[in-house]
Amino acid sequence: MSYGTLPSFGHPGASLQIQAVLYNNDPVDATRMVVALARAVELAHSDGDISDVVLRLGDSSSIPVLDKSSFDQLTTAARRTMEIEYDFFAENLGSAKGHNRLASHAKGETDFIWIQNPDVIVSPRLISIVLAPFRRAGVGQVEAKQLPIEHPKEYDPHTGETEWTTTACVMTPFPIYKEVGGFDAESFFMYCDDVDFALRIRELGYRLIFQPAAICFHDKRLSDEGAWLPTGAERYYSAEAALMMLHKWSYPEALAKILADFRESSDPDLLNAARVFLERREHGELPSPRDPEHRVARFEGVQWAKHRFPL
Amino acid sequence: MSTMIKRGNQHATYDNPFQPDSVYGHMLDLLVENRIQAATDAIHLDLGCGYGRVAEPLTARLGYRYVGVDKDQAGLDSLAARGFETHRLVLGEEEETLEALRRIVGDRRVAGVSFLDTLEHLADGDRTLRAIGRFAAEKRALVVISVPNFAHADIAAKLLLGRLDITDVGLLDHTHTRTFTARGLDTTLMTAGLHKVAEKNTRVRHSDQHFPTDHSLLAEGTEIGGLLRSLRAAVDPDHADVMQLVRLCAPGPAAAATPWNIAYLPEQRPFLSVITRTQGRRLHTLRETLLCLHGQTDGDIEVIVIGHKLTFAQLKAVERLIDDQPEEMRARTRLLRINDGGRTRPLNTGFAAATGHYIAILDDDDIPFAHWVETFRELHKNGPGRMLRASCVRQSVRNVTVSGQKGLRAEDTPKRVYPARFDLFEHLRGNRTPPLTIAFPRGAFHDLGIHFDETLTTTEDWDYILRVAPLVGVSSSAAVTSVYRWWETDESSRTLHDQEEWDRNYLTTLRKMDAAPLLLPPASTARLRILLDGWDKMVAANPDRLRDEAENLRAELGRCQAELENCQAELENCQAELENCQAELGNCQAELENCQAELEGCGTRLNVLKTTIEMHGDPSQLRYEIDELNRAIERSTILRVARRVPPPVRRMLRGTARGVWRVGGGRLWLRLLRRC
Repeated sequence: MSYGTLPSFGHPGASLQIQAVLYNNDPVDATRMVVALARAVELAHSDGDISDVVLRLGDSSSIPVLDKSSFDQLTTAARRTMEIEYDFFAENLGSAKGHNRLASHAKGETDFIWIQNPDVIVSPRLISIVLAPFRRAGVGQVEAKQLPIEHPKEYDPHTGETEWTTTACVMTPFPIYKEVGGFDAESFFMYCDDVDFALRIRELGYRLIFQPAAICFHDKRLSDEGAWLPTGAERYYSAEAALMMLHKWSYPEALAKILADFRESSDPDLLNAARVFLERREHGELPSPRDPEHRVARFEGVQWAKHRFPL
Repeated sequence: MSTMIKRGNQHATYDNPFQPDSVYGHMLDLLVENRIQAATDAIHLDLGCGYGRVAEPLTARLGYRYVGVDKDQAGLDSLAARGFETHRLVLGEEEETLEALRRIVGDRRVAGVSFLDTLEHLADGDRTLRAIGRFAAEKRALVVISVPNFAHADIAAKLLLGRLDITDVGLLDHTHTRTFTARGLDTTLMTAGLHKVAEKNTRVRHSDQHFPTDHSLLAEGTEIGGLLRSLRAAVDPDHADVMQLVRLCAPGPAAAATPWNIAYLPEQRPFLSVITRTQGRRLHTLRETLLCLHGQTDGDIEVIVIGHKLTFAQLKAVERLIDDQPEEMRARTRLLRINDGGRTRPLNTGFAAATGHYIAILDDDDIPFAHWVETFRELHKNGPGRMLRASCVRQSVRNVTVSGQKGLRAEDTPKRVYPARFDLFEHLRGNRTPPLTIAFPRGAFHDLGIHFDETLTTTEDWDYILRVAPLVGVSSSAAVTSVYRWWETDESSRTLHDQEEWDRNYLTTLRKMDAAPLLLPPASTARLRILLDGWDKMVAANPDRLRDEAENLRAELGRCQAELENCQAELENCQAELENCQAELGNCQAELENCQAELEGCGTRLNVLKTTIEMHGDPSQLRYEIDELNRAIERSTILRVARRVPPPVRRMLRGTARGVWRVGGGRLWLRLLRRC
């Protein structure tokens, strides 16, 4: 598949929109994010890989994260490498709807959108490294590697090809974003919206690349025993999203089993997720199932891709 | 203290004889060793000369005219009676002293000035010293200065327990107005425009302050005394036994006076210095390490990247990687290069350059979590100055190349392999702490002088932990703050060094630990009781099995010792045989050289013969000459020499071609020997 709709990539460089959705973050984190982005933009620009860059920050908090002073700090940290736009949503849109909102403001000539979490710090050469695979035809997304805890999903160690990507740090050609229709904000609030988005890109025939040389720091921590530490919100929303994914990507048997497990669980997060799902099903609010032959979405065990190791 | 002791002391005379190993002797040595061309009529000015017993040997060895200056008449009278020029002078104010010295010397040339064991007696020695500095500059003269060393181990040991014995004479003469250490003296001299050129201190292990001899910190046999002496030897090996600091100085610009409060003013230091070693061979992982440092919630750090044996291309690549960093990281990062030493050298270099309150080792494949520094800071609050130790997980990784870009791929679940908290007892058996989980207090390196052992090629971190932790204590946290990368297939220290080398280094550290006393943390006696009680119970429960095991161990030990003795005997035989062979070989080489010379003579004769044939064409003469020549060649060939090589040498040379090269015969020897 060729990129007929994409502008020629290279000199004088691609137009880039960077977007992140804030939610009760510390302004210091936002500043640190911008400091790192500014350096990455500066280097990519000097390499001729990008031209103009806009950073759009959405805010789903109930009280704005950024006031005039902290916004000025961001502007200073950006060192005129990019334009910064701040959009206080005045409601919690979640990640899917928040990113759709930010993408809707993208300039028409935007070539790529880089989506990241607001607590992610990119490495200096990241932009050039994640753009490189797009020189080959058929690449729909390039995802960077997160540190200090690397995501365990499988990828081809030579081509980087993988089943899905996470929007913690991913580059997507804007035309493909539009072709896919953005995130499914009706079905997903803040988890698995990226998995669903990535699968729909693959559904169109594009390949997804995981690039371990492109690195970003995402402040995740482990328990004293070395175990993963999900937050309460992560437990609930990931449970809710898991049920929705099984329904949407045509795994009715697995859905029934997991739904039953949730309903028998004593975990209030799981019970609540099951209740909400059933209510939506009763009210006809679920999306139509797709990919019945599982050409794109492969549900293995309890994951949407084979994992190299449990986490 | 053998000499000196100055004015105002009613309890002693100061007529100290000349001894080669006294201040006088050392002064003379310094002047002789650093002698500059001086006019024969030049003088040597001895300020505070006392009885000036150095006058005669100085005159004899250097040929200068000796001039003694002092305020005490008795010494001056003695010098005058011995035929030397003397002047009475009270040293004091700068300008007055300078003028007085000018008057004494006049237009005469001055080769040297000595100012021995006098400075510490003056009420304001700095002013006098400035006058001497200016006078020496005017006269372009070298200056020898000595003072007693207040930091002698005997004084320090007693003072540590609150005891300071002022005496009639000696190191703590009651007439001293000021004390000096080596560093303090050098600073004082520089502010007077006197710059150290050389030094030759007088030394004595047991000074006049070595009393009472049964003092627990002075007595040679006590553990605590030994511990203190070993600490001092590590920190300040050059001055613990110095009686008098003796300096040879050249005059020069005076340094600005150091404010007296500089010693206690708060120092501007980062909380943590991060030492990152790199050989420039895995920049993709160094990039990850630096990124994670940028992600720290506590950014009060400096990063010292130690480039070890980098090629020019590697150096440029590392420089570029650092230059790529955002300004705030770049400003905190510096690159130091080292072109020699083993893997431990960069640590000593990095620790020496570190300015932080704590120093951590984060190698170029290590990954800190965002709260790595923050956790150290929390531990510091609970125990300032201690070694700080957090926890880590271990994760296997390997290199991959995706789209032409080299990256790192995690291969398994991060696991907490190492104990959550530090346990000194466990560490006595082996390392349980990857270095990236530790922050060492800077005092361990900079104050206690505990440096990394550069003879170790592996386990240098464990060795360092074992020397630091008992002395400063450890504060530990179970918080997982880093990922220790584990290379299963790619190059790492585990693949670069074989097991024998690891074992050798391990035993070296154990031997060092066994040779020194050990401080144990609180509650250790309870731990030891439990261990010993447990052992006793086990012995009581299984006496036969334990006895058998002990006997087996003894037998095994006996076998090992016998084998070792055999090996040693065999080694000695081999060495003796090797020496014989080398001697024989030397003889053969000499004979070979003779033969080669003879052969060259034959060649010359052959040329003559050819010429003869061309000129005369006499066949009978030709036959005769050829027969002669053949006989000469038969006598002279290398082959004949080779046949004479004794059998042991032949065996040795046949053993390896390399051996043949080493003994100097080259491949020719080998070929000839094969024909023998």
